[in-house]
Amino acid sequence: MILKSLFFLHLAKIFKTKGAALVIFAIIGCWPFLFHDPYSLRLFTLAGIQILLVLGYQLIFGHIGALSLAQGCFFGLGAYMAGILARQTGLDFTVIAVCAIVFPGLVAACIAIPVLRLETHYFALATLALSQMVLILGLEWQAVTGGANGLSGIIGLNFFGWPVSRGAPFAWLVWLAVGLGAWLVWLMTRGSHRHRLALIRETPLMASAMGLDRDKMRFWFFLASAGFAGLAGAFHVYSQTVVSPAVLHFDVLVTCLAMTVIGGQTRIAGAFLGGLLLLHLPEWFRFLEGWALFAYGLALLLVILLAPEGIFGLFECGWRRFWRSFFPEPEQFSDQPAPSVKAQNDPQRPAVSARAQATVPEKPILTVEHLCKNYGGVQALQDFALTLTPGEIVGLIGPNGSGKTTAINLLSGLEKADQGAIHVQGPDGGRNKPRIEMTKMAPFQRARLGLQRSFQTPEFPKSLTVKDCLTVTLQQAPSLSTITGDRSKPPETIDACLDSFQLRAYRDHLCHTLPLPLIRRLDLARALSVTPSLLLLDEPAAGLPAQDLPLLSFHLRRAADQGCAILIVEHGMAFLTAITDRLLCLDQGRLIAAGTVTEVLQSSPVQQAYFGRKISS
Amino acid sequence: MDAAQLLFNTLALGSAYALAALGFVLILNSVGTVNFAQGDLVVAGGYLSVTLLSVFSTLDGQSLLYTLFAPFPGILFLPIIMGIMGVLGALLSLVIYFPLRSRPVVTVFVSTIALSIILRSSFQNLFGGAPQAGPPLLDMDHWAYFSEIPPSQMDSQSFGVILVTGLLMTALHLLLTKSHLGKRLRAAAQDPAMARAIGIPVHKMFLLSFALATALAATAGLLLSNRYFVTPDEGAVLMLKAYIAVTIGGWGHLGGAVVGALLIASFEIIFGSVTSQPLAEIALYLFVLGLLFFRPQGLFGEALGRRA
Repeated sequence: MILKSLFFLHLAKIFKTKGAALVIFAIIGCWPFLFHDPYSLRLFTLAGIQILLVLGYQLIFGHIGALSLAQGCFFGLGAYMAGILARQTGLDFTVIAVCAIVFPGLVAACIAIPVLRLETHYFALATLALSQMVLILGLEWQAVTGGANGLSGIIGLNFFGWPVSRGAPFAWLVWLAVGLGAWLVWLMTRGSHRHRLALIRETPLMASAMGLDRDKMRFWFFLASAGFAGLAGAFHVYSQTVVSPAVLHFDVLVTCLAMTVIGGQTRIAGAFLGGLLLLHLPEWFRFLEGWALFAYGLALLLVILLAPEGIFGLFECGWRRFWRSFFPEPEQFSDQPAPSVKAQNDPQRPAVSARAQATVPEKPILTVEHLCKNYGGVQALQDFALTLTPGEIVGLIGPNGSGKTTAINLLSGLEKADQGAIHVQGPDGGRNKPRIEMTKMAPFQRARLGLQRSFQTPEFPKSLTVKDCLTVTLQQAPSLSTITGDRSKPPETIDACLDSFQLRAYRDHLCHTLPLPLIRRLDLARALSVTPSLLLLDEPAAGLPAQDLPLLSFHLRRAADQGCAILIVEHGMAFLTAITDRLLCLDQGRLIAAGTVTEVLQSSPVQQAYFGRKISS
Repeated sequence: MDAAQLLFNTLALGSAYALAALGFVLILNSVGTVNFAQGDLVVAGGYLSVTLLSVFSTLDGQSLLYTLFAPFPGILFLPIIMGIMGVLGALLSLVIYFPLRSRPVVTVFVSTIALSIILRSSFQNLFGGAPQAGPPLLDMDHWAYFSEIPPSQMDSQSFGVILVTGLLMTALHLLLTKSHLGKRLRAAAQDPAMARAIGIPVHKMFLLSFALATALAATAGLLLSNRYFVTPDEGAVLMLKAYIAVTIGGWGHLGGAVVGALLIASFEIIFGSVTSQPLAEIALYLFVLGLLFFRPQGLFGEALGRRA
């Protein structure tokens, strides 16, 4: 009895969260049974082709957030590939489809390697230039493409040797491909993949700090989008029996972009809804005659202005609100009292950590030599040198503009050094490779070598909750090098992590709605939960309420005791002197003092830099 | 064609591209995104001048206005077109930019694509696909006794185009660097938050940038309309040329955009006269892809920093 009611509760929950999508799929599924006259069947086929194109475009535009203007071009390339192969060789459709998928993919790879890493506007220009170039080729290279007339008489589709006739069998073939495509997109974007994509799209710096390889993800998603477009192009050729330069025209992209934005940019059901609308748009807009494109443009503009998540987003929102009125959601969290830190914070703690006091000097985990960085004529950092051993907490101080943040950025890879070398202990505690040079490495590669950093104003994607953020972090952990080098050890659980950072109450809150001190605590939790061997902190205490400081020092001390080397840039001397083992002081890009806390604070260059003269203590 | 004529044609085409590209950079600097409809705004200027010409030619041949301006109708239309299109540009920005300014930059990019589609489809339906000729800057029928003045190899239209462009660019340069208003415009574009903090009405400045950019685009349309005719689909190519000019010249550089426009025009005309037009276009696109690969910051470096 209880089991049964639980089952129904579960069903109701699924229905509430996924029901909107299910309704769209159900309508699509019923369509061919309700309307099976040849005209409706043809519309159904065309919609399927369009959905394939849009599913691909969602990958690059929706999930990656790169404005590719070459989706129409890849559609055309697939169409020409299929048309030429079908006319010249009469191969089986399976072979032709593979060629039509691979060829645009190869072209996409050629263009992606130079420009995909660039900013949106350059990427858009490069893809636009490619489209124009291919359009000119399609028109002018008459020997191959048939010029403006195109190639006609493409009939006789064989699928694994079976002739597929036009009409219903062809429609089923198209929709088989749509189903497979949607399944593939679902696999690529479900669960925490969606969060990873949001990180890469909305907060690339945070993504790289977590060790996510943004370039690789962008590359493969771009290739996949080209493949989807190519297959759609191949189907298009068979449905039209001709291939003409019209498939390369900019309007193909315009329609695809409109469908993607109108349906919903990152939802599979959105692509289907876009296709469903396309089934009817030609009917509805028939009275418009030449103004159909105008209507597309207007609809596109209106949806951008009024429904950022697309029409499916609106539908889903309304659906949830409707069901919530029947099944009110339980309270999301209980405001339990946070565990006290005082018990953990031992007042008898020695000023210097146990590991740092050990008589046997440990191998350094980070060695920095002669690091230099210029901005124009300004020497932001000159001849910076640093050695960190495991378990050590080092403070980096200096007046404003002395190059502290530059040092952190050079170490974490956000900026590239002009000169100098940064070496880090190899993965797994340096077992196989004692030293690795990472001077020229990308930030995500440094993260994978066990380097974590915190941000002064951490940014998280709008759709991520605190729990999602830690889920992604912990899933990423096995690919990161850790202090112990023991990757088989399961990482901390999310709940343990939430508890130890007193974030349990905010588990289901959206990250970007939290106040800054909590976002920074989450950022620290994220960085420490993967047990890094090296941690860089950029002003961790600045702006924090006083009662948060003990928690911060407790976690830093605990990480250091486990063997993590920590470099802190900070202005708050009370906080620094209590926690650090030694200090470095920068002034105008040069190291002017290094040593124990008292040594540095007493040294005359330091006092000169801060106060303009030496003060008597 | 001898070298002088070639150079002259290049300059004429290049100046029109430069005007389109300047508007492109103005919007880019203030809003931080590409205006995909820039080319279609050029075409809108072209069609507006065609319409004005048809109105003008119905005027009484004896009327004062007609006798005064018949020798150079384009000059008469220039301020009218700049005024109308400037207001239109400001109004458009209220729809395609201001409601979206807190959203990602790509969103504004897409909304300008939507505007471009709307404009292009309107031209197609209102004016048809056939090319139409706009008003000449100088109507040579009325200059019979002066026909010796422009050197015979250089046609008067190109001469007028270069002259007007030169004047407008000088005026724009003076406006942006010397006048108080220009300094405020640049301040709002470079650092909106700081500009707002020192009391510059940033939104008004952005509105003005849109108005100025649209007026420049429309002027380019007027200048091109007589020599190259007006067609509804021309905007896409013009936008692409402006886009490329800005990329070559360095993202956000006003002067660089002008140099880039001249480079594209010379490339097209010189390369095109040696080989064929399609080949010249393909070569241009390959050059752009190469540039993006080896020197994405353009020839003169990016003026526009990454905006957080």
